[in-house]
Amino acid sequence: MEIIRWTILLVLVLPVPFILGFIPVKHMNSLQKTPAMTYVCGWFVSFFIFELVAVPLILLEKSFTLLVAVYTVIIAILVPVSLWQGRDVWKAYWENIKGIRELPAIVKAGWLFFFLLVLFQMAYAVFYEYYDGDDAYYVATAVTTCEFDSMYLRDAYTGYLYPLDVRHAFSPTPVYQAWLSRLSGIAPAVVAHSVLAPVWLMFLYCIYGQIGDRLLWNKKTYRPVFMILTAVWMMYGNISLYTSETFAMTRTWQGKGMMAGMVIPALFLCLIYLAQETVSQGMWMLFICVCLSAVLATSVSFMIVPTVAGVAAVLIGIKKKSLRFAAELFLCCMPCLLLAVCYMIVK
Amino acid sequence: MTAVMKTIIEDIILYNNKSFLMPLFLIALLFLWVTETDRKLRAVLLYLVAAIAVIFLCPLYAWIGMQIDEEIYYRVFWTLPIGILVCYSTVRLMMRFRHAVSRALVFFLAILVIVINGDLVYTNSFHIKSVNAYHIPQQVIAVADAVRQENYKPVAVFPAELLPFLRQYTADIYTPYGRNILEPAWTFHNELYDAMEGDSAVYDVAEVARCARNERCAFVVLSCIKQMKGSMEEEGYFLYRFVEGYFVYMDYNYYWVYKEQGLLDQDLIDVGDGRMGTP
Repeated sequence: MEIIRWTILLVLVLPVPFILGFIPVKHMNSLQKTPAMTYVCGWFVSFFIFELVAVPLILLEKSFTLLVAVYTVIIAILVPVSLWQGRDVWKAYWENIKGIRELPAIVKAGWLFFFLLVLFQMAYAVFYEYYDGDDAYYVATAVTTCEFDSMYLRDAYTGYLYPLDVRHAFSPTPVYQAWLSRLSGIAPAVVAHSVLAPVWLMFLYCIYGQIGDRLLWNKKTYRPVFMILTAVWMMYGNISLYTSETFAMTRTWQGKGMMAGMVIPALFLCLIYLAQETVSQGMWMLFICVCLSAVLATSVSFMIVPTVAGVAAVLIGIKKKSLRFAAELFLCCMPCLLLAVCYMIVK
Repeated sequence: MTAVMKTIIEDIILYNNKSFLMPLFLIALLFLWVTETDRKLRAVLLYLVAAIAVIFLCPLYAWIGMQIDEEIYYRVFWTLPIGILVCYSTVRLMMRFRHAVSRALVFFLAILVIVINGDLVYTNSFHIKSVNAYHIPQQVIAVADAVRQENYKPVAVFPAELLPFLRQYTADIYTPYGRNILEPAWTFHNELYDAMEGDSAVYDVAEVARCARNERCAFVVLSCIKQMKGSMEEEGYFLYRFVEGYFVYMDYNYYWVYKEQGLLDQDLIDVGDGRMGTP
């Protein structure tokens, strides 16, 4: 029984996001058609859909079971559709793999060292625990959601009923973890601390890997150098309690950690590609998903995402001499702005 | 506006701590400003980053942001891709050298700068070897398992050190207050909490029992590290279990009511009846 539970959970966090990633990746260019980009896209597609489904149901004070049913059905429909969509992507992966064989030995050694660093960080996340007081809210919310079948209607600190917690209702990362827990039968604390902590670290490095691919697109041999530096930077970024590296490495499973470690780097990844002359349809899809995923992570995104998107729209619009492009770029954060308006109204 | 500027400066100082992070970021930005030739990358990595840095430091924007939540304004600094800029500029610096030894030297120097100026996350005192997959102390699991019942969710009060973890493990137990009461900044107040934690060495048992009844607690969990002034038995409680250094007491008033309603687990009934001498 335990093996089945763990299998379900690992399927939900490894192959399912990967498969969902085929939808945007199919519409990307050859440089972007990598397994890592697929995995990155898949997570953001999952978050995007979850935010769209969860927030209305939470505000309508519906049961968690209803959310589980609706979201699971959507994912169950999307997985085969996505698999079908991605049937041509495998060729591009094969080309990538063939390219690896031609790399010089020193570059291969560099990649190996980087993978060992990441493996060490993932193992540390599993075998060591980090005391963080905020877990008493975040993980407890996931536990309360599963146990009482309600969302943000009970005080996570005591278990007693209280009015809808609007402040957190728009950023239901713990409810997403409760979904993983409900489907797998593994306790939310185990899901967060022993599974999502290492898996989302891998996800984080996939994002940085794609950034490295773009920055050094014509200098393949330097990519492992960039990635090793990034991995060391993340490990030694704990200079204060407030840095994005501290949040990403110690609170990976919390919405704040997700924002610092994954959403913001992904935002930059999208903007780097959106600044190019020709932008693939898949990159637009990813950008929209990232903008809304930011809200799933934390309500600070109501301020951060429109600001960054707005400034990027102006600068990239000027560079491309296209008002239309600037407007289109800014429009991508419209769902985020709409949720911000809802937040203000409900609050 | 002066107060806003003061808060921004404080945020930067707190964020940067005593490290070389912000200067390193500025050096990387300057280096790329001079050397980066790809106009598409310049637009995002340089102009966008510089523009958002200026906006986030702008007192008017900061004032608006702080109206939402002053405590977390520092999070806007997360949008500055400091790590990306520093690592990328290091790679670009390496590429300027022709000789492999010089490149390796730049690489190792960069690692050295990061290591010396940084702080390894794993040496942080909050990191400890986990004893279970939940990543919570084993005592919490043992105590919670002792208190929770198959057929109902009791109200119980726990020592402060268990509060941050208890509800991460189970929601089968209600608590009159949670970890939120431990945050002085949140200014929560509870009479029972004062009775439980007011004295760090001794429990005033009569006061704890009185307040626990006011909060409708069926169970009271007390730490064995602290002494007891008085006896819980005299206050109408019986010792159900002693687990991992914690006494788990149950209130007899609730015991009879819940027993009548068939809500208690058999092992609890065995202990409860045994304490009363009921066969």
